[in-house]
Amino acid sequence: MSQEPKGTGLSGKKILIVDDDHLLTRTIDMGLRNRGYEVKVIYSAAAAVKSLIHEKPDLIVLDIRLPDCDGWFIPELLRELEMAQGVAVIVMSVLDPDREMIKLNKPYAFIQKPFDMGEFIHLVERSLATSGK
Amino acid sequence: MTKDRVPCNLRSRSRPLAGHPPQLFLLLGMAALLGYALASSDAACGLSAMTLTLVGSMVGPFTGGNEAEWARHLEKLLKSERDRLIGILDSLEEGIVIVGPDRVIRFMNPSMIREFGDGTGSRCHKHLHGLEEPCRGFCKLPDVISGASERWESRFPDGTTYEIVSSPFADSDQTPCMLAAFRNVTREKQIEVELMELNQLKSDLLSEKTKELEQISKDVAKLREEKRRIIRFLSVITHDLRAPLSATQSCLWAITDGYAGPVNDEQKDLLQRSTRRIDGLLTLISDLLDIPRMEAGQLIQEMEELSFNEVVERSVDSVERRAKEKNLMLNVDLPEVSPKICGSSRRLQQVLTNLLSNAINYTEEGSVSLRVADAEDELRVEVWDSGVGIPPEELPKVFQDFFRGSNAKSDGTGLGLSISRRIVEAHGGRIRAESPCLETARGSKFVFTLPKKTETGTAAGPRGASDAAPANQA
Repeated sequence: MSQEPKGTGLSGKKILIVDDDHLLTRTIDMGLRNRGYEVKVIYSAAAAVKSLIHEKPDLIVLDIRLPDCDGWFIPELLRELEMAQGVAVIVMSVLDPDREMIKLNKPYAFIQKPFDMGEFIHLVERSLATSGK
Repeated sequence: MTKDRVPCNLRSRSRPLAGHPPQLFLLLGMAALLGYALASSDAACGLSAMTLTLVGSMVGPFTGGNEAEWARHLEKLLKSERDRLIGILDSLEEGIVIVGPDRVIRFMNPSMIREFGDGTGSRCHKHLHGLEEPCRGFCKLPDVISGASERWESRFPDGTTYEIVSSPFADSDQTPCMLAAFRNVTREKQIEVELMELNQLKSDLLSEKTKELEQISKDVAKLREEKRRIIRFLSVITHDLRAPLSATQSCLWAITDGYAGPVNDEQKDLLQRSTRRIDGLLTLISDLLDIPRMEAGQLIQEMEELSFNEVVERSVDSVERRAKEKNLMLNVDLPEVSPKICGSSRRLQQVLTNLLSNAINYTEEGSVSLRVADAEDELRVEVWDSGVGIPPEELPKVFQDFFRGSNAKSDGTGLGLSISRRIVEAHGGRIRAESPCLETARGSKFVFTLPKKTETGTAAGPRGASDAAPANQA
């Protein structure tokens, strides 16, 4: 899949990548920055919480297995802080999706690793467009 | 039949008859006495004036004729009564014996004679028990004055058991006699004993089975815990093995697609070869981790209602990149309206991806095709290619565990198709292979069927909750 042009009207949106896999986060960061998004990479849940409050991202791309806690902690916190309406969440994992947690936390999408960057970017664009921010 | 003579296990309980009118008591005694007296000797000699008076009071006043006529009438009446009483005594199942105050047996009815032999005129203890001296209990003469009767059970040495009821009555001269009725209750006692033994056996068996069930229950709990432990372990292993490979794969795909800058053809080729190796490793890991699930019969843990076209589309998406890399046409023919079935989305996607990947791997030029036909009761899914095909002698083995064909081009476990077969069968479907494909006369073709969802469930196959569908849209 070839690189898509910048400027879809969604550039400048803040995207928080939360995953402790440095190779993957760097790949995602590269793909999203090329599309004009503002990307911040976080490697732990604790740092993600701070960033959530200070950065106010439009989208969180979240790995389920984080070094300090279960990634589902983040959408739960968003609900508690009543921020869930304004922030889209894409959950990613190498494991099969946990249907119960998906039903409970209602992320915008679940994507299983490995994934194609083109498809991933398409999903990001749709989630940002749908969240209306 | 004559019995052994010593009674044992004597159990008695008094049953006072004090409440009965004395006249009725005398009447019963008289009736019995009348019976044995008339049966054994001259009718007239056994009758006393008192008896006649009593009988007279029973039959009512005689109103006409002279004394001779009265006597004839009375004789006729007495004969009739005697015959009736004899008939009753003869037909009784119980043995009746009458013993005088001297312990001499005065009367035995036919049932009693059958049980003990005729002992009329013998001492009761001698005849019935073989004892020289009067025995305790059995030969006790009830107190005529108090009118008490006795009931007890007596078990003879040969095992025969009688329930005996003895009642006192006074002879015409007020001599105390004893009337005893013997009822053979041996069979009833045996049944009681057998029932007790059966109940004991049942109780022992229940106790044994309860212990076994408790043990099974403990074993099951232990196995469940073991299963949970294995599943947790598998989950950790799956994650730790797949995570670095998946990250590398995603990264290499992004570079191949130009996200890190322009890539020339040689670089692209090298990158594609690298991603194929990673693909192979990821498949290998999945297959290896499926072995314990397969052995535990737990490949499919949850089922749900599925839109089949979506499952196919996700599978096609996952192999599209590889088909493009090989310049193969990937033809997909789906029903306009997506069929609904009950199944595991993840596992059915695994089957489709496996069949499509195999077709792409073994095809160097031409096309790979997939068609879903929506029949009345089932879905028919066909995947065929224009590749090298499968040697005919290997066709029957392709769904066996660990089978690797002679055309196998890459490393693998030989489990992909056998896992696919298990998944299809767990859904109530069937899978088969043909080579060459009968339609195109080349390559190979895999066909599997799945029962469709009906109003009341699937046409066949297991039901259950979902196997966690890997839908892009969560």
